Amino acid sequence: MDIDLIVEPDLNPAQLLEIAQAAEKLGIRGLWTSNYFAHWDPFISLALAAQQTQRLLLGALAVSPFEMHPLKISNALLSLNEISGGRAMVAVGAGEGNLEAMALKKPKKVVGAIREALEIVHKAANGELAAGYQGEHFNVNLPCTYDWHKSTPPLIYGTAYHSMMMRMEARVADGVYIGCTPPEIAEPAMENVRIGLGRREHQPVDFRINTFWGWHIKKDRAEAYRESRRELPWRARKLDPELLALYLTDDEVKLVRDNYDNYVQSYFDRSGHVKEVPEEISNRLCEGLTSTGGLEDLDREIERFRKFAAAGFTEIALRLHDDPMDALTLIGKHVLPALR
Amino acid sequence: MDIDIIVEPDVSPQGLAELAVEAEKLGFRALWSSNYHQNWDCFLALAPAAQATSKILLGPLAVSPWELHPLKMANSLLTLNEMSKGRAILAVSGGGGVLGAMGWKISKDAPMWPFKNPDKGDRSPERRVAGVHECIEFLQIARSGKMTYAYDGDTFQVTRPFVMEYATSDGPLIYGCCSGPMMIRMGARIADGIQVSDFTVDMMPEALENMRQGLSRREQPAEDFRFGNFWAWHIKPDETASMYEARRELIWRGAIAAKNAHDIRPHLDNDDEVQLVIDQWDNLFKAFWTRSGKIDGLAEEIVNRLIHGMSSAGGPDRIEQEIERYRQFANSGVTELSLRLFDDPMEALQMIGARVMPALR
Repeated sequence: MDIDLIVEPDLNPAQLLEIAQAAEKLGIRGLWTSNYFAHWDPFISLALAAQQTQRLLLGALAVSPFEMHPLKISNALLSLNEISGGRAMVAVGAGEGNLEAMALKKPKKVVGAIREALEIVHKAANGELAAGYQGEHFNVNLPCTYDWHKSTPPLIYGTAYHSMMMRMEARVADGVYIGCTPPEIAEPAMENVRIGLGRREHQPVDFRINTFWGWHIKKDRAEAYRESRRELPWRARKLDPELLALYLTDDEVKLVRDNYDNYVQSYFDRSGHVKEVPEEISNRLCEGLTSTGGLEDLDREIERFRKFAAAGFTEIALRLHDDPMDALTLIGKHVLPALR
Repeated sequence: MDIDIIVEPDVSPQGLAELAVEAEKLGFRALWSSNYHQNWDCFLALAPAAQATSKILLGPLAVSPWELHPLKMANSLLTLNEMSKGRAILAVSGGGGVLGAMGWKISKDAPMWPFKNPDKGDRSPERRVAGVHECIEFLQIARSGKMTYAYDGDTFQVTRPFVMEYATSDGPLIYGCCSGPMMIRMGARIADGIQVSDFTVDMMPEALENMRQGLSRREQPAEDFRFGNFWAWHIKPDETASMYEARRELIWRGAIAAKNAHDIRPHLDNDDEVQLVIDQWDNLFKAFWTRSGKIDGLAEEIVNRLIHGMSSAGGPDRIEQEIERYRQFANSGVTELSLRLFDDPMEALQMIGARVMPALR
């Protein structure tokens, strides 16, 4: 199983380059920028890294076709792919915060719309869009030959939390990016992926199964927990009770749900202090839903990553937060050698 | 008057960087990338040029908010602006080929974006002037770096508080692509500049009057309002090659593309010839998409009059005449002439650098 990194959206292109060069040297497979609504453009900001690295994959996570037409996604992705010599990737998803920020809405048939978007981007990347595309949601009305795109096609993932999306993406994309699924419940996700793969006309040579996973291991264990609690409102499908129940009692689940706004507040005030919820409960979630702890917890996390690998994941994408270079160094020193 | 260049959308990022370095050396003000529907991303393609240069302005021409929401546009623009240390420029338009290719429609009450109008079945933008206005206004807020709680336009909204903290450089310059009277007045009222397209010298007085009206309505007077004109450059060492290229591209000259009889008329002898040109629109288009440059149904003499009226074409011996035309543009109030290059852009750039730039200094 490979390791990818996902970084905060506030890193500038020079910082991304620095991380990319270090990651490449350490043997990380891919670097993902975060597509947030008032931050660096996730494709353009990778241009420097694309020019100055040789092997590392580079991509944007995640881009919704409801915020950016699949044709525009294609143009950005293929431009990055050419600049990087065939190392670009993208994760296409239904979209959350960006859509809300732009007052844009999703269609009712969201799985169908994402399928169309993936098909358009895939056709563009493989020189198959010359006849255009007429979908229910998205059209390409002019011939698109993309004859300037010469590199190996980019990797196109779909992001998924739920079964129908997973199946569809396994059917049409190059990979599925499963959101924050702990190994305990990986098997149902894998079953959906297998169902989707079974419906493909041609089995892919190297279908990718990735998952987003929060990384909060630090030398300072208390600081690691604080950072992890701060990010909790965005974990596990925004603290979906079904996932909380893996680690909490029914009463504790209710307490957490009732205080969801306090979790959000602890993110925005950057405190990691969640009012009204005992810290021990939040810390249990941190341990279940992310990799959180000190250096003494590294072996436990490596064991968890082995479970991901055994479940069938081809890579996990570790989401870094504060001090990404410190995190990368730890991962390079302890995690990568253990997983080789 | 400054000179800008606009290049074909199929020039690679590396090619753009090489052109930008040369253009900067020759004293050009700006290099514009072209935003087409199946080509390089018009922002990302400029990233290598931003790294390789230090003075020249860099930006896409043109991007419509109906193809890229103003919030996304702001992020792309400000990212390029930071990478170029404050040298990004952008021309915002109301439509264009990209929009046609993807069939967006946006509506405040639409169930999703894009939205297909259930009655008309189309996805054309409505209230284009107002939409471009909102987009430019939003971009100006975004570049200010100030915390803003929301933007509630009729067409485009941003519902969350935002501050582009990463945007610390000066600029970028924001133009409106404004060729119609209302659009020119709107652009002059709120943008940093306007870019008209294929305007001949005799079209300038009316444009300037509209621009003055817009400028008079500004809340704050513009210190250095920019008035650019997109103008096709086909002059080559080989006159035959030049005229072929000019014939091939003639369909896209503003008046012809829009079948605007009023603006075609000054180049022809009578209304019948104007109608003939409009009737042969498909053949003009065919000359472009087949790359043949062969326009069936129109006499060469008519075609040549249109070409010389609406663009700079011919051999090097035409340059003096063109310089005279450019001086008239400058006297009309144009602050920069944006020369659209086609085949062999480096050769064109060097010719302009050697012959045109010194004459206009």
